[in-house]
Amino acid sequence: MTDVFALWRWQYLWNDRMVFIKGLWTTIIIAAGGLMLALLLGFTFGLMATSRNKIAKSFARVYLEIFRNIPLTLQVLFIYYSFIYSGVKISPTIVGIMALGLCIGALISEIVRGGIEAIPKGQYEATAAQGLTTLQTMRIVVLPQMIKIIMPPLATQLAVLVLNTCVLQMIAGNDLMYVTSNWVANGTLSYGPAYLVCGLLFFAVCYPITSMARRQERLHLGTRR
Amino acid sequence: MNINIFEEIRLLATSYNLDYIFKGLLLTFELAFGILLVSFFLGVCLALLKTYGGKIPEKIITVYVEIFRNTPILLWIFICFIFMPFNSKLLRASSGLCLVSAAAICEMVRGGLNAIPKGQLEAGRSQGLNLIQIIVIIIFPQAFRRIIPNLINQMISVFKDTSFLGQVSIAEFLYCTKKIMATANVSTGHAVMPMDVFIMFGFAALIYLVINSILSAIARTAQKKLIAH
Repeated sequence: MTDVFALWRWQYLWNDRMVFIKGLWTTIIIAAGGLMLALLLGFTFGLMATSRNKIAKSFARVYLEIFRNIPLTLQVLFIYYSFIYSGVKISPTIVGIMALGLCIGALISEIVRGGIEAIPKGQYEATAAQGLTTLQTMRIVVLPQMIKIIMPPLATQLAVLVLNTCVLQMIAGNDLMYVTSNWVANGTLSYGPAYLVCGLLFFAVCYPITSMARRQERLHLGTRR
Repeated sequence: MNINIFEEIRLLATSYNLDYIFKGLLLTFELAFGILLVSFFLGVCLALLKTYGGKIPEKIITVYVEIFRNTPILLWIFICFIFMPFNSKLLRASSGLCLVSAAAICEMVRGGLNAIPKGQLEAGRSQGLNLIQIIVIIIFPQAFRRIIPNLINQMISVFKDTSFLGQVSIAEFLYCTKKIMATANVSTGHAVMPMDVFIMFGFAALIYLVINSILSAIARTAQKKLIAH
């Protein structure tokens, strides 16, 4: 156990530093792509969940329940193997963006719904009285107020997104978690430095996001009191 | 090749396969239950220490929670799988999940404790109770009631997160399902087809969906009761 963090292991890791940097880059790409898809789906289904149309509402509900209640690991495997056994060679990066986008999109739709419902009913009536269309109401009245409310939880979801890229380890996704465990298993078994570096990299990406989100949330609660 | 889906299900549902998957499901239940129990105990201890333990424990526990909140679960499963001083593979792997879940539960319990008015602590003091008595008799039962919905949601996440344990070859539910899917040719007699993927993973998804939907419905009801209270 004494040589878990031995100096030569660190040197070995330093020689292969590009492996980790590339892994981090892939993770960030997947997170960015996933975030865009998740925001798109989240806002669409969030708006549907608050609409008066019964069908749209139940559709949003089904989407939320499915992707919130099934583990991301299973979603990734489902998407990946469906393509592979159909004879389509799909890149794990695309699978990651799809799975993370769908899953986090469900969580974001719930945040968006909460944000829209946090706007007092009277404001909708007021805009209707002013003759604004639904789209105008959203753009001019609801969205600017809503952004402030939903920003902190959205940022938290971004951190969750980055952390959850680790499920791609299951399908050899070349993400940070995969390259770390792969580097460890195929090399000198330098678990100590590799896992420490991997953890630090994730922490360095996610901590600023979550701590800023919390500070914003506190600020927001403070102004409302 | 034209194969009927019902025929395919019949071929896949051999007694060996069913038995194997059922065992995996059972192990997942056991794991989820054990992890929840341990992490609840750990989380409550951490939250109490953080709230009533003075400055230094508060700092340490804050760091603990921040670390586990900002690093992936899978990393902790790997770390614990290698470094935890247990003999059993199962214990080592699940201890990683315990640590992560304890950090989440710690934050929930702390929120619950903070929601109890300070006056109650002072009232308890004035009755001559010591801090432990006040916590056990007065504060904790109220805080616990407040966090029941969150705890049920944590149950859902732990149940989902057990599927990560397949990565260190613990034969839990998803691991077993995947294995049967990948070796479907043994029971069906032809190469693995997309249909097999749909059947096996669809079945797994259904199981997760049913159990977690029931749990989240319970959580919603509990939340409503809490607000009405």
